[in-house]
Amino acid sequence: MFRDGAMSAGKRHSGQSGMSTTYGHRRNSARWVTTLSLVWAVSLYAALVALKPTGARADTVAAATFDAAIERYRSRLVEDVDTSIVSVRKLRDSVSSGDLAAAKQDWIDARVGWERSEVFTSGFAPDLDREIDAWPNGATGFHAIETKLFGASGPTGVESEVDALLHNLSDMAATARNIKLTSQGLFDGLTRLAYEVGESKLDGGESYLSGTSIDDMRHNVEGIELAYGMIFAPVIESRDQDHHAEVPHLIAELKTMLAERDLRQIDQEKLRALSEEIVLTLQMTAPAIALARPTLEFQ
Amino acid sequence: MMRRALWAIAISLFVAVQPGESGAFPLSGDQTILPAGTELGEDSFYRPSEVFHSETSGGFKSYMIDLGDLAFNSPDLLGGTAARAGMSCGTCHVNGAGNSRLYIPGASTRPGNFDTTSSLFNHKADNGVLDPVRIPSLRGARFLAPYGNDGRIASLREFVRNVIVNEFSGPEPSPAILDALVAYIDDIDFLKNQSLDSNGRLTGQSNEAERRGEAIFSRPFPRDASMSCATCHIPSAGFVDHKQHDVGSGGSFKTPTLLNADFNAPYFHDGRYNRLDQAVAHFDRVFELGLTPQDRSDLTAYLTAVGDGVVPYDREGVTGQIKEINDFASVLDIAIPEHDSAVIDLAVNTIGRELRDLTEMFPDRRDPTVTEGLKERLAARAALKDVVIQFRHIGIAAAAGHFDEAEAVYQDYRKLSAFALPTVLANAEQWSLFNVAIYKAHYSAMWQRLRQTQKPMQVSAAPANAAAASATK
Repeated sequence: MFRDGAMSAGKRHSGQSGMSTTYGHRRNSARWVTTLSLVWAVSLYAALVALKPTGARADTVAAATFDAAIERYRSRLVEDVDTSIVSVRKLRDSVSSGDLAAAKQDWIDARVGWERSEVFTSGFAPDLDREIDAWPNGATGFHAIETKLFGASGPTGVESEVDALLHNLSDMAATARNIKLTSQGLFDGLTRLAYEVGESKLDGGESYLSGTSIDDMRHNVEGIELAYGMIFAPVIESRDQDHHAEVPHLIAELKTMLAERDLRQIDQEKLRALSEEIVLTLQMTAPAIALARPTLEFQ
Repeated sequence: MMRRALWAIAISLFVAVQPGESGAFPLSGDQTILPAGTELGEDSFYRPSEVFHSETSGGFKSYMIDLGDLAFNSPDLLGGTAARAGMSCGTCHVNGAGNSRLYIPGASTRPGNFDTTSSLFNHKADNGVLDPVRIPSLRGARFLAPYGNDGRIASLREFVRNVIVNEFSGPEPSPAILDALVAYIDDIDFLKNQSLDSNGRLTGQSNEAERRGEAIFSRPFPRDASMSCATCHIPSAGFVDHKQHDVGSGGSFKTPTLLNADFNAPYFHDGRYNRLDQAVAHFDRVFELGLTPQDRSDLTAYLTAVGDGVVPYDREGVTGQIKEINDFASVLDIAIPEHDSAVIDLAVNTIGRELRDLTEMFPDRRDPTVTEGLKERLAARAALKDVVIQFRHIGIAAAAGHFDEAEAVYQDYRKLSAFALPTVLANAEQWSLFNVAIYKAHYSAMWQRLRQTQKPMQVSAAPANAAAASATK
């Protein structure tokens, strides 16, 4: 593909300049062409994808005011992160007292608020998100702790990881309290999370050691429902007759599917279809509330 | 089929075969080998190359061939455990060849074989014995009737139906899908072999040992002068005689072709032999051929020449994946204008799943096993996710009878897939799981976690880094 093109461009360059051209020159030239091409391809891509009129036209609708709703949502968001912190503190105590059963339960409890807040975390605090929820095996974070608590090796020396998690979650709570929350950022966040819920869990999902991947998904959906309901639903209801009923309906269907206790009992294809239908509906309704079509990866 | 999908299949089947196991994950039990498709070496990036007769003869694959290829790679075709695990025909017959690495705990006795009559995939088909059979390559299948290791079914179409409905408890396939599967399988050619001419004779470039082996191959057996190797493996007829024989392997089985056999190990109906010289030794023993060590070596050299093929493997990468997805998508050229909802659904579901798997080949921000190229990886992920939603859009529009809308979205995809999408992916490829070093780092971490589900005794016997080291073997 293009990387071959870049290579040959580099070679041509070296040929024209004769023997004096250094390896560094060739490499820089190739890199420069690659960079330019990436920029070009990405903008071409954006032009092809993003400008499709999929719903109402964004330039004809008045900007909606979400500020008050966002502040109400913020208090719930902070509550979720704080609840997670409380459980991690308990986890630290359980680990200190050597109570493995309690520690496992604390870990599971701490995931609840965390998974709900993912509408916010991955887009507004991506670096902290990576520290807290690295996957697969980071040195710290929920899953490093999960491996030690639920893995076969037993809970050896997990204190420093728990302390680091507590520290990072506290930073996350502070970020949730103080950062400027934009409607676009939150709309993007809930759309991305809706996509993530449909990712294949055939391999057991990311929390398979604790057996709680399905709980992660359920709490993700609660987070989506919370943000959508508090911030966007009222405006969409008044502006987009075509789609306003769809998202709550699809979320309800997702919740029904995820009420199952066993991940293996869930029809993965149906789950994926639902998740993608939510994403598509959110993309289509974005112009009606004067937001840009949500991108599916925070870049 | 992506690496990641194979990993998921291996793990979910592993879970499925644990008797009496209740609850969801985590895994438990005695997982002593690396799941299929998760080898961490460079080798695992090579997959059998696929040669289409229609293309090598200067034409294009037909709609039916593309549709068959699509169906062949769709779990929707199968039922029960296989479908739930995300398995398709293509899981065992990678690119229409075999899969010598596939190992399914409880249904395989060694990598490359598989019990199609076990309760795992269809309770009704269970014959109560673990009798796995070798996964055959489908190359040249149109020359190789009758079908099945025992050659019990004369028609390829009927055989394919039997595999789907009886062996893998799938729903009755439509006549159109069966026709398409047969069209696809019939189009898979043998790899070209420059050692052989069109009559199956060695060409001028063969060496002395191979020529001596060729003579032994057609030399009458000492105890039955009416027979030679070539009596059943007829060189001018694709090295088969379309018949079943008892060669002392525990029953009567059809003569397998020797073409491209270098890439079809293990050998014999149950895959008992890893190498061709072992097969030679078997015949020497059973038919009392009285071969000298030199004879055996010459015969093996000849079989190796016969079993050769040009470019047997392709390196997996972005270009190949995009081509495969584009080939699958091309059925929509016909299916959307014809309002063929069944084919549209099959395409949308299969392609969406493949795209989701391809997305996971580009690690996201949370993956600590790769740090470079984040911007490029995220651009690739975003592009692929958008395309996933495009295909969902096509499916939803078509289901609602809005075929014009489906067509418009499909055309958008066509524009994207021509240049922008492959370029964005190629720019991220060096930081993706298509890069061996990154692949190893990522799956070593996954594997370490998986090891944590083992019985404590086994884990304490092997420290985590030793697990990773053995996984790379």
